[in-house]
Amino acid sequence: MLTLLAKLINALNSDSSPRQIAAGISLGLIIGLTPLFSLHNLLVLIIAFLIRINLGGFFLAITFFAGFSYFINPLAILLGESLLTSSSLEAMWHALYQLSALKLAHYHHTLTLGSLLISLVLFLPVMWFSQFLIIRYRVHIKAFIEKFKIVRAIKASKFYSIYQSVAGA
Amino acid sequence: MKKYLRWQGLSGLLVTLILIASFVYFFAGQLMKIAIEEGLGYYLGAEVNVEEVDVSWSPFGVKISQFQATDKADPEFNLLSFKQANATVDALQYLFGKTIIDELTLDTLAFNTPRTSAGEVYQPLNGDEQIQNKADEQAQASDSVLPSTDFELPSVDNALKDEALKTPKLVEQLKAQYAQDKIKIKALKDQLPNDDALKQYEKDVKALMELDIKSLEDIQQAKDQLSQLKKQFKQDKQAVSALKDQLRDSQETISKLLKDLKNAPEDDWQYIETKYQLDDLDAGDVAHLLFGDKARSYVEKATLVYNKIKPLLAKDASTEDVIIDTENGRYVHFKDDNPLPKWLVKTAKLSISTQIGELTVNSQEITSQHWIRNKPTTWQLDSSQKQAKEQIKAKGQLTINQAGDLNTHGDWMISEFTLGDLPLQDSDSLQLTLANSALSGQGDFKFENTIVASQANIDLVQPEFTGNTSSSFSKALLKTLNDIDTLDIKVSATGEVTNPDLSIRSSLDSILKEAVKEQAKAKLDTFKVKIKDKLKGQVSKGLNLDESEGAELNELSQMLEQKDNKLNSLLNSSIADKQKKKLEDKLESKLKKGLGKLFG
Repeated sequence: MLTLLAKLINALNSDSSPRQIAAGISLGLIIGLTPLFSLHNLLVLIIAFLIRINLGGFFLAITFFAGFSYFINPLAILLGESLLTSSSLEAMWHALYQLSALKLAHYHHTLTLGSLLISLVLFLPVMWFSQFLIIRYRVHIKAFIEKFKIVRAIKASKFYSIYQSVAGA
Repeated sequence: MKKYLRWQGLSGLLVTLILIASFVYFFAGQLMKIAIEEGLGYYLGAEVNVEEVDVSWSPFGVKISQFQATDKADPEFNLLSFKQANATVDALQYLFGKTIIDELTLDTLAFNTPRTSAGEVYQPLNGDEQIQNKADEQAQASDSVLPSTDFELPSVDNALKDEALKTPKLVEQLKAQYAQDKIKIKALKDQLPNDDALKQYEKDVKALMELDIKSLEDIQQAKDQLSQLKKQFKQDKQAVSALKDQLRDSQETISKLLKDLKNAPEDDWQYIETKYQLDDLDAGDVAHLLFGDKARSYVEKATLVYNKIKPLLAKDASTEDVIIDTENGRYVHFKDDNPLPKWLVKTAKLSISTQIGELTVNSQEITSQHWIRNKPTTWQLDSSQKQAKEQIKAKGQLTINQAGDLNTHGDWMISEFTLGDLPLQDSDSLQLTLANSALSGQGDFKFENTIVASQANIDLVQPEFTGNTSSSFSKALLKTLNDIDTLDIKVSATGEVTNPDLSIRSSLDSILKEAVKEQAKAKLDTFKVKIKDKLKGQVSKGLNLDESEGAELNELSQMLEQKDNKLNSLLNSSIADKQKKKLEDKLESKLKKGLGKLFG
């Protein structure tokens, strides 16, 4: 965990573009919020590994949003339930239900469908917002924080040595 | 493009995925073993052991060896166990969220088998389970309703103390009647003229007869005296008559009492027979007493299974309001071109180890959503005994509709199946085991929603029973059971499944009744003689009383007759006429004398 956090801070302080880090966080959001063993998560994983995004941010986002999903799940289930049981959408679901691939992806599962939709809706806002925060961090906060005694104390700690080793790697 | 893509990352992912897949491939059995032991153990609340789980991938199948689930109510025993289970699962459908087992085989399924070591209990019995367990223990521990003592008769003295008995009552009534009548008779007797008075009457009449009548005045005087006497006679005659009436009434009443008294002992015996049920020595509903516990335990087990299954017979989600699971979500299934239920076992073969041997069950289309494929679950049970004459066969079918109602029906037959060492009773008064018997029978059952209708006709041919008992009733029972060539038992269970009416009938009831009667006959005969002797003694007392008191009344009756006759004769004496005639004769003679002198 410390390594992961250190990697993120390193990424924040490195030359990685804010967009790469934000994309990692956004993709991590999808896996974190939706049930882990879902077909779409395999696709997300492939994308994350194939495209040059920041993997530290990606994995940290998975961990963070997996915890956050406990609060989101009831809402996701209600959303999935209302969509799957909506009489106006029944014809569409019935047609899609005949496709094995869609059944394999578990889109007829209330939590899977609801959480995927929520994560997709949040995907771009989270990406933009995290990109904004990273830029703001680099411009204002990084220099400001380094002035604090506590930061200097951290630099003398074990955490900082890990950070150093990661940064040096 | 290179700027955006990271091919080495993708290969890293592939390597990772392959590693994960390899791990799953090689350790799937171990993982599944842990999942079964932990998951089922948590669900059942007690230790679950699996020796080995093998996973085959094409076709996807699971083999579970040496499964044991501890009975948390009795950790020394297994709730169920089996030697081996094989299931081939449609992997694609499983990924779609449906569990479709193409073939399931279960080898040597057994219930309540002893464990080599006590299993760990994770959760104590809950309230309902405790109540059920307590009821089971009470049923096992409770002494049977069979009489634990010998056939007992009441003591003769106690039996005769009964206030409802007629004989002693009539004897007392007779005594009272005599006493009461005696007082009345004495009072009336005192009003009668005694012998001296009667003699005086005779003297008076004679005196009047001999009276010297000289004039008409004398005649008048005699007439007046006679009138006085007659008045007295009439009064005395009335007294005689009143006493006669009383005597007649008394004799009639006493005669009736005596007649009743003579019949009373027989009536009293009948009363005692009825009161102490000596006329109908009921050995009880013996078949129910003997086989009831066993039958009840089967019914209770069936009810328990039903109560466990009932909540699982969920109503079809499409027909009812769905309770949304806000924790895990659910699969919403739509009409499929090739519809399948949520879970389905297409074919299953089970071998079950029971007290009556190994049974094989073949079943098809096991599911809880029969309406989807519109096929019922069918099953056939057959015994695995090698001897051809020993057969157990049963078949039936089962459906669950969209409303969650369970309907099933079937029939079964057993022919010449050898039974051995089957405990029937284990109570203080009787330990009874069916040591050996050939069992034949047939029956059917029907279950619609919650109403059960089941009946069975069972014949135990040449049964041999062993047992221990100190009670002579139970000894008679044991002897009777062993003397029976064929014991027929009719069992039926009807009504609400949670509380069915259980009826068990057998010719044993009447056979045993006769045996008990025979055993009790000697005692009963002695008792009857003693009772009747005592009653007859009481009757004799009454009759003796009648002999003395009755003779007295007869004497009195004779005496009254004499007095009455005498009074009648006195009353009928025509003294006045005679005296009048005497006077006329006298006057005539005087007149003749005077006329003779005159005419000379």
